[in-house]
Amino acid sequence: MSAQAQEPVDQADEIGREPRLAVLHWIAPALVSVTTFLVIDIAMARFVGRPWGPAYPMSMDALVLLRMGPLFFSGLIVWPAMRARGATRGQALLGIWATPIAFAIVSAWRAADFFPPWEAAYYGTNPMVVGALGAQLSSAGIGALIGGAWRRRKGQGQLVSWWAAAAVGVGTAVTVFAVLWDGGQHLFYPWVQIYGELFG
Amino acid sequence: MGSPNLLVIFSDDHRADHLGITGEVPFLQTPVLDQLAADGVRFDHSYVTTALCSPSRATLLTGQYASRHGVQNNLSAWIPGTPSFFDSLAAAGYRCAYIGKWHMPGDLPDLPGVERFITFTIEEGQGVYHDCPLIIDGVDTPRPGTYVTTDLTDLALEWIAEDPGRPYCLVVAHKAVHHEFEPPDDLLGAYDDVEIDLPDEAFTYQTLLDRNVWEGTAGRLQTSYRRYCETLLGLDREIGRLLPSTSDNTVVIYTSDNGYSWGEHVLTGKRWAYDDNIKVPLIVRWPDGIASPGSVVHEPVLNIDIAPTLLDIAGVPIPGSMQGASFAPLLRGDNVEWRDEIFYEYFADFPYQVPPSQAVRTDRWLYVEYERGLPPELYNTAADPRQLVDLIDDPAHSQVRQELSQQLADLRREFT
Repeated sequence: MSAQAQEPVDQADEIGREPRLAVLHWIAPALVSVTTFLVIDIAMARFVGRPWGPAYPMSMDALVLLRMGPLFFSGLIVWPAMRARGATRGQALLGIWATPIAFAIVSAWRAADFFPPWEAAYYGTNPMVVGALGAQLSSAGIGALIGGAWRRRKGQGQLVSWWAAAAVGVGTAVTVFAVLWDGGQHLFYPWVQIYGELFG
Repeated sequence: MGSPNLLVIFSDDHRADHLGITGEVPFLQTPVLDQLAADGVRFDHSYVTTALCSPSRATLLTGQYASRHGVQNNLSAWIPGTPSFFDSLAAAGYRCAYIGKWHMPGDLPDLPGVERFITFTIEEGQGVYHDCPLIIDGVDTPRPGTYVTTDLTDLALEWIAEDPGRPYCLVVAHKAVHHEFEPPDDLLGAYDDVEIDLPDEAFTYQTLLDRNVWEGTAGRLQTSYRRYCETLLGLDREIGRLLPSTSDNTVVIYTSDNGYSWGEHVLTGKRWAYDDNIKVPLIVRWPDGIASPGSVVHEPVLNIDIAPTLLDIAGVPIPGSMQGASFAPLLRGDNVEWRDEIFYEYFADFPYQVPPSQAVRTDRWLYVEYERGLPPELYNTAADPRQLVDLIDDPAHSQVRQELSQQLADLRREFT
């Protein structure tokens, strides 16, 4: 078996592809995640607080919960998909964090309606963003582990890589600390305190 | 009879319509507060001047607007030397104590006139419901195995019993019913079976909206709301333990720092100028002073009025620094000239996405101006008590808008 055939990343598709199209090819999963998040986010902003009938509360709940998918968990698909399309680990990492980063930008942009620009920018570092970064890392690790198990079944690779397991652990810890443990107050209060130091 | 004792019970985030006696929430029980209202007077138009914890606390003590006392949000500290009603009462021979939530950042102040100061600084002063470590007269004191509402009540009872010789002024400032909405163990789940009707514009997971997420209520709105009501049930029970320790010569005032939105305007929290946020319960029991026990006063009173009222009842001169007015004449049933409008102000409080605002509320209108981010709003509170239909762009109301805008400008000049 050649070295190229052992590589889990499918690079055969890249042969003969225009460089720009090649980049689009491997970042497409991240773009889908970001776009899905933004579309749901815009729909929420459009419909929230305008009850149109009995389906309103259920629809809004669905939108709110659906938005959590691309924001927190799309790494489960985005990581293996990007890696399979030729992205390096660094590129795939940026890919899984693209949606939380988009959320940070949207948050800061909206906060600019209420706070001066630098304070609004700081708002973009909020614990929800940190929690989303952690959850994406964790999801990517799980995605990689599932991918590894799949390849193992096909005799193409090892079952578990240490970094994937570490990503699950670190990502989960970050998410728990940032948003789940006591409602995230152990990060929330220091974050507000830092705000006070910076802008108070 | 000598100078009356003054007991102020100050809760957190208790909205005005959440008293059993109002009948607004069919399942809700507050038997002790209901009895207090039956023995005293209830104000059904009691408002705060800033619907937020720290400013409201400072306003209670000083009788001043936040723009005057300087505690404008939860990040601004009490300015040392700020005069409070404790100063005047202590000078008149009262022994004074503050027991409970202080929640203003920075070092705990030396409150002139206060002989016992018990509070907590954990979680930026928010405290915790279980095992909340206290600072008792400056000494860190672990309190393992305690529930904070019960613990503060115990400490208040101890302090009241210490020196029966002098009149006292005691403020008991509870953490309850603020989030994390943790009722005492035996009341957890007491309202699990009741049906919760959310407002039309609300939905179960609105707690996850960016505008609401910092309230710490993430999860099912109905579940948080049940815990809120159970925490209130626990608070009511503790007040019932405290009240029997008071003599007939004790004036009891129960109120809260602000209200709370439970889905109204798709909000979970406070800070806005809507009634859910600015309207608070206010009950006064004053055996020797009240003309008609069990009556309801409809005149609009504010939290800036509490400090001057306490001094007035104690027969102590009201300092000119206080911006409120004594509502003791309303308790006595006297015919007095009273305000017919209130001025509300709110300052930015990071990270909450609520723009700084100022508002005027009359018996018929609510008019709000925002410093940035949102256009002004106008509601006919008589026809639309939930303040849902914004009339600001309605040509038929342009004259009203103009008048209220002028009225707001006048109030701003007077109070800020």
